[in-house]
Amino acid sequence: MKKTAMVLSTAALVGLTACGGNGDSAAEDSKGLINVGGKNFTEQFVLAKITSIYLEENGYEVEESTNMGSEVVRDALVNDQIDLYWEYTGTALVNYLGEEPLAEEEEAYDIVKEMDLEENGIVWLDMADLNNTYTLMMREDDAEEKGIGSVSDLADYVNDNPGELNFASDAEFATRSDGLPGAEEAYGFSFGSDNVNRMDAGLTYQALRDGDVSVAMGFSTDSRIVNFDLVNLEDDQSFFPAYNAAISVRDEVLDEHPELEELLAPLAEVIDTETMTELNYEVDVEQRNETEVAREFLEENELIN
Amino acid sequence: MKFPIGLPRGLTKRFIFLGLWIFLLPMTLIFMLAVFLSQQTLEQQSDDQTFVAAQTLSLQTRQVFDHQIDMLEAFVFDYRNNGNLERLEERASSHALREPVFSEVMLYNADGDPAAGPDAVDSMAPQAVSEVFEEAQWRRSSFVKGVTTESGHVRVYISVPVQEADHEPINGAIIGEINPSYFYHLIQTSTIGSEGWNLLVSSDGTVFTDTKGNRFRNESIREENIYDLLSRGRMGTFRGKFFEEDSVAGYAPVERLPFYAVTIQPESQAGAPIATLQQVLSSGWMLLFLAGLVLLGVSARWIVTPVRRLTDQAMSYAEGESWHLQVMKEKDEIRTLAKAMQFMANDLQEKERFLQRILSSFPYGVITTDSSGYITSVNREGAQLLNISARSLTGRPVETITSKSLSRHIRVLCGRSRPFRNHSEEFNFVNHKQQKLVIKVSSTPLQDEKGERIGVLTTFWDHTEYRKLEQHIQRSEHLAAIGQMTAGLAHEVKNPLGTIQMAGDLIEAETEELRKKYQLRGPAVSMIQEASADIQEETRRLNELVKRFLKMSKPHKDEETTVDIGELTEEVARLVSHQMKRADIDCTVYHKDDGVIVRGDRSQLMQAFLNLALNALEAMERVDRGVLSITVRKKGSNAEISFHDSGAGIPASKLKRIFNPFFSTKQEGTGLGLSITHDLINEHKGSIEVESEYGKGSEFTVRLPLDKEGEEAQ
Repeated sequence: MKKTAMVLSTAALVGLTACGGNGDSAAEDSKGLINVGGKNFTEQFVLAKITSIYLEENGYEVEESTNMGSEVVRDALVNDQIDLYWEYTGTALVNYLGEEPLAEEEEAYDIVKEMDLEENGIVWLDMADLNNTYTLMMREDDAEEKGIGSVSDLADYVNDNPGELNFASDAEFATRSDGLPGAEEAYGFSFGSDNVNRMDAGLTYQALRDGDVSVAMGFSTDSRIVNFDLVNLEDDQSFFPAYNAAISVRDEVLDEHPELEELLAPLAEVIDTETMTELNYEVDVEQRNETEVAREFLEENELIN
Repeated sequence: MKFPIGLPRGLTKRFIFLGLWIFLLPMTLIFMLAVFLSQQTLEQQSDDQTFVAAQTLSLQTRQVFDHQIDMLEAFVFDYRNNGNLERLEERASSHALREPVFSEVMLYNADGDPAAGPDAVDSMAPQAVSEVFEEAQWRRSSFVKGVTTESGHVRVYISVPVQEADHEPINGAIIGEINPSYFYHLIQTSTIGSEGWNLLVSSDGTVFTDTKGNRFRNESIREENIYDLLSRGRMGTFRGKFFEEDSVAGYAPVERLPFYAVTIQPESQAGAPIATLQQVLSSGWMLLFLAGLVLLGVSARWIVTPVRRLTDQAMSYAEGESWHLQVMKEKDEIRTLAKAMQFMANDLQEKERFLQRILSSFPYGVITTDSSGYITSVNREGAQLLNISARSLTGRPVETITSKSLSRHIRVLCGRSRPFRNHSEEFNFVNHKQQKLVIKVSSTPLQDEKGERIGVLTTFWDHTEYRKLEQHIQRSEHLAAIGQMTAGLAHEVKNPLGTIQMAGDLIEAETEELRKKYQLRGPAVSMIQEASADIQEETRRLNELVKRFLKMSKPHKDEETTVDIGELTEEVARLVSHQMKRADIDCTVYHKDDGVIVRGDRSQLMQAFLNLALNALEAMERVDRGVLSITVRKKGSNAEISFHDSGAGIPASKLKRIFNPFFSTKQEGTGLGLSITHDLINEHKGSIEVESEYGKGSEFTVRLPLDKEGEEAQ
């Protein structure tokens, strides 16, 4: 009589069969081959990877051609060897269009967008809030202590305490009109020539970290800003030229894939200076895989699942 | 339909059901959960393991390429410094000999031709190389490119530009073709387990090398499900078919290189720990489940068996068996219950026995039937009367009864739908001793507590004696009447006979005197003398006859005994009880005194009392709910027995004559009953008198001298 009960209960155990998951169905027919270009520094590798994965996940076949020089990748775009890449407005304005640098982000973008399409048939998609330009940096704790959050604050402090702060700069920045002299003029302060330490561009971060200087120049998305607990001082008077990143794409490519403009728009929305700095930090300092970092970023922003 | 194996029923079923719910099912659920979770964990582990292997593979691959690019770039850097193109060419060519990773390395000039001249040995596919060179021209930096030739072979190249400065237009390029066997061996080191294998797939989905002896080299995996994941730049673990084998595949793109690194574990290998664990857990579950079932069974027996024994006992008790269950040893509720039930059973049994005793001691036969005519019980007296055992009658139809009249009587009542109260009948019955008996039957409906008729209760008894007695009374009454009449006649005859005798004597004396006086002679005289002598003679004889007759007709006591008047009146009352009942008369004997004993003829006294009782009965025939009170008491030296009836009464005018023979107030009466009674009482030196009120009733009072000896004896 208990046999029956046992058989019944044994049957319950059969419910334990694992359900083998399988991947998505076979790839849908590719929407086309896109060649994504990129320059030869971390931020560019990451941006190219983000774009590649985003396009791949949206059904495009992607070829990546990164690790190129700035002008080279631009040529490759113009010459039909790549289809799109992330370029900076300041770079285009000065290097490709022969214009003077502009500090106003929107203005710079608008001019670039208009001129580049007109002259070179290059379309600039939406600009990201990622401005990879010159920046003045301080140690985070130091800035907090001195109550300095912007370049104006710095100017006030320097004027109040002349000679107290010293500055690390590369040679070019120290002399360029859109560098330190221009900034000092625009904000109305001066470190004084004795207080400016000239060194190679890559060494300013370390000098600042080690306390050799109180203020240093740098580039705003450099991973070391995160790594060394540094802080960018806000360019509240918009003095430094705008180097906003945006995808530049050949006109013909958009003719062929008109949907790309809309598809890529969200990328520009989610990438900003701070985020980029973080991503650079992940790759440069944490030594993480670019693909992993890019995918994680896209997933976090729910651009792919 | 019965199951060959009986499923547990009742309490056992409930118990097992409960046990299953409370113990076995949760246990099973826990086991299932354990198996599920550990399976998940193990699967996750094997997934992670496979993925990590793929990442390692990816990293390994990248490091090799990075290293080689660095080496070649170093050659170019040197060239930039010394401008020695020949040396560069030489270093490039000899590099292939030193580094097994290359199958060949060559320097190409700005036109894309081998710098060593057209004679240079060039085993690399020219078509593919020119494709690489073209890209080198516009990229102006180092890169790795996989080219799948028209024949479907994948070739992988490293291209390092030769230029004056970074990103300047190129003067040429060092292009090296990668030797797949190098990677074949390299990636061998990171396979998982004995069954695992690795492969490197070019970005267009062609297998560059695999550790299964390059079995799949140059085959496309674009049709495999995993390619969909690879092509989307994903990394992770894939479970499913890979080259028609259930596999767990870790996959990751090789950073900045046109490769995917894939690590494969056959499902059988990856799932082996899971299978083992499942087996262990399942057998553990089985064992526990079986143990649980056994435990459940045992405890079910432990708890249910006493209850079942109790219920079985109760069932068999209900079916009529006696209560024999021993009280259980454990001091628990069941023991209490068993005790209570035993007590109840005993009590019930006692009560039933008591009822049985009453029924069996009942001096009348009692048969009960259900409403469809089946006998439900027969008492001892009934069984004896019918000479058949009660057992053989119970449960049978009434027709089983030997008396056809009795069974017909019951059957008729059973079938009667109208209500009835008390139905009596009398019939003859020849018993097993061939004695002719008169059986009297009285039946009433058998009702349950709600008053519904559930059968018939029939009482029957041997009425023969009563009938005989009744006949005897009638006969003796008749004989007495004749006697009285004859005596009366004789009495009437005696007076005239005396006159005749006296007249005869006178005739003789006168005739003698006349003959003497007148000396009469002659035949005539002697004839007269003779005739008067005859008259005298005959009257004397007749007188003697009448005297003797009268003497004989007078009631006389046969034998004298001591008679208990109390007992006697009871007997009389019993004899008349049926008739009284039929006439709806309440007959009661009141014993005011005990030991009322007289000397006399018992049967004569009984007849006297019987006459008085019957007389009262007749007087109350037309009266509703008559009452006859017989009172026995001592009064002085006499016993006083009074019969008080609530009958019609006797008119005062007739009161004095009622003891006279042939006087009757009744139309059918002989007029002798009270006269005989009067004589019988007189015979016993007693007296009888009557008081009556017309319309209300009469009281006959008999007085008899008490027996002194009997009294003293008492």
